[in-house]
Amino acid sequence: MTFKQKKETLKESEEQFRTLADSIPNLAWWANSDGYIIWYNRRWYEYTGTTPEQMEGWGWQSVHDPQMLPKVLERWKASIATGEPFDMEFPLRGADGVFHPFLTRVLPLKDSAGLILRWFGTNTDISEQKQAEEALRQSEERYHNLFNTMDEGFCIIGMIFDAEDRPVDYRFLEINPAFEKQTGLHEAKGKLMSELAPAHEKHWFEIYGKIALTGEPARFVNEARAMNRWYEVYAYRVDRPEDRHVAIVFNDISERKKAEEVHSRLAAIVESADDAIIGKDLNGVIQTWNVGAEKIFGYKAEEVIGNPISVLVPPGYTDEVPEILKRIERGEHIENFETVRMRKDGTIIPVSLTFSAIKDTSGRLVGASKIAHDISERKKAEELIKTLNEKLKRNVDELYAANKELEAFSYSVAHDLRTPLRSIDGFSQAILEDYGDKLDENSMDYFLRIRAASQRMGLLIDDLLNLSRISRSEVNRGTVDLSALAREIVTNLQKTQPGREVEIVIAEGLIDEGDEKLLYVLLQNLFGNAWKFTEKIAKARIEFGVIQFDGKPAYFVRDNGAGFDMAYVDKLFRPFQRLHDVTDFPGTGVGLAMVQRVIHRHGGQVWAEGKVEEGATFYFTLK
Amino acid sequence: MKNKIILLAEDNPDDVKLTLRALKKSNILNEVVVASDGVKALDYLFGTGEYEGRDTSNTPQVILLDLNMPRLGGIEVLQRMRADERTKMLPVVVLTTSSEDIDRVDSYRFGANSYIKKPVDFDQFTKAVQQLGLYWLVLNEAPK
Repeated sequence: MTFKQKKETLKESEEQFRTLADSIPNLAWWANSDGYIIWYNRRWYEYTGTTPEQMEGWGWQSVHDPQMLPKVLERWKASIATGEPFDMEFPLRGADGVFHPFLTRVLPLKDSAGLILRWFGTNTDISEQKQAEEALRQSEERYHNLFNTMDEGFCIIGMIFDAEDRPVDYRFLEINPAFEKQTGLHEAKGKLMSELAPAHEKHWFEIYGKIALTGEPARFVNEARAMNRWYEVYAYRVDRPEDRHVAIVFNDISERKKAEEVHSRLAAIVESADDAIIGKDLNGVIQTWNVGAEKIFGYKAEEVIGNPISVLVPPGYTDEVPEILKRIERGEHIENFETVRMRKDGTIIPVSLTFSAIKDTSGRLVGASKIAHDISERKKAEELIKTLNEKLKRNVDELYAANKELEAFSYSVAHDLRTPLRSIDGFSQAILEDYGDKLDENSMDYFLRIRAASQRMGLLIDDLLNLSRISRSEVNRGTVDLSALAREIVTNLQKTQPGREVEIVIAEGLIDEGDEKLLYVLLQNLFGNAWKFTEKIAKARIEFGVIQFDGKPAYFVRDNGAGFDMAYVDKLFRPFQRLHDVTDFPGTGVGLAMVQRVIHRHGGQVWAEGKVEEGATFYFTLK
Repeated sequence: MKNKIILLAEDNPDDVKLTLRALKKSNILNEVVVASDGVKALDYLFGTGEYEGRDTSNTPQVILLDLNMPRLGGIEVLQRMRADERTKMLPVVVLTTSSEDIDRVDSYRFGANSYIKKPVDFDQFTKAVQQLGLYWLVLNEAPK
């Protein structure tokens, strides 16, 4: 082939190449061996919006990023000098003025002698590739962030199996920062679970082993006793199946479990309570209903939940419900509100209701709880108490009326019985005085007897009135010096019979609580008796003292006088009962009855010991 | 002592007789006017009723007043007397069978000067009347 032929052939092949190069989506060009660009394909002009004149030779620099240009020129010149292929990414400005990233590759075309004939360059738009790279980077960053910042623990483990393919352990390959907080395991990465928690239950290995083998993900809640925690877990296989890697996302739910436990315990308490515990929303619709409610009202939970609370309210009480709701909304706590409610069978029962507001976690009122206590039994008891009280009051009223009558009776006894006595005595005396000289001894004796009898009857009436006065008078309690009272009484007795010699022994400091007036009457009678019944004793002795009886002081008045037969001791305190002849020892037989009444008015006890001709002792306690 | 009138308000004729006898035995010889109930006692004091026109300036030296009388009781007589200027200062001795505390308290509250319980024993009664006469008729100067 001649040179001309050769040149023709080259030209021809160049033509063919140009046709081909014009049809590809890349930008393409030819340059001379010195880098002078002699041809661009159609895509170049389309993309850059330039003309062949502008681009010829080194004109391409105008579509480059000026910042990148020096580097590009340096590299391009280096390639021209060395003949090494050029490979670089840089942006080119498009016809719209926007730069797009291009991967530019330039290869030298050499002749058989190895001399460079031409440079052939392509610029490939790598915008999409760049975008994909960026998207991937962002996505990775996002997942990395998630991995680092999520509250859930995350780890990738490599399962370890024994010779028979049974899962026996696992190694932590990756862990996230939350892992330690969630597990309490330090520096777990790279370590075996068996090193970190030797007591870790076998079932954990089995669950993860199964996931590693089958690739089936699992979601479950399980307890890790060795770590004293409860976990909610999602686990799935990652990487190649033969790697037997499992990714685990988990959450420590121990607190929630505890709360659930408390909640279920509370629920059990509510459920088992005898009282009806009912939850309702703000519209008064029943939401919860325990066994107690079922027992008290007769409705089963399933038939009453969702119904308005008013099904329990008997006619005539319907106004109560909105009133109660209003009060709860105001924040009031209503306790022991007593009213009546209606059972399923229509019977009305008395109940005591306690209401409290139910609030959600943000403190918003969402309903009310109602505790109803069946107070039928209590009401019955109250009714009984009321009846008894009324009866008691009637009895007291009757007693009071009877007492009033007795008082009126006593008063008329005082007047109406004494007045004729005075006439009998007075006119007998008048006869004796005025007609004494006309009467014989017998008649005189009769008149004297009439007088004596009427005077004695006067005394009896007086004492009867005194006795009734003790029963009627009020007890005014105060501190009483019994020793001082005794001394005063004895002094008065001695004045009545100054000639008598009686040894008196009065214990000092006998002080107690009681009505001074009544206790004076009491001591006066006891000392009066002692004084009277020692009259015939040569060496009379009267003693006032105290002993302990049933842990209480028991006071006593002891004498060495006539005494009495213990066989008649129970008659001693009855009014008008006398153990001695009136001619031996005068008296009406009312004294000891008065003593007994005074002691009874004080809530105390009185008793006597004695022996005929050897004296008597009278004991009494107060309160 | 002769001019000094004693007004005895007493419904029981026995008691009137015995009181007069006791006064006589005690040598109290004053004129005794007997009113058999409270109304008559007030009529005498104020010159009304059967005592219409009586010179009321001639007031009794002492009034012996029984508490239980028909028509008008002793306590009411006492109240009327103490409410009237003419009889406000007259000495009144309440004579009664009653030994009830309430009577005694009422008597003093409404202005009785003395209180004497009539005992069953006539001798004691005579003694009481004697002392009473001495005190009110002899020793005690009536206010002018």
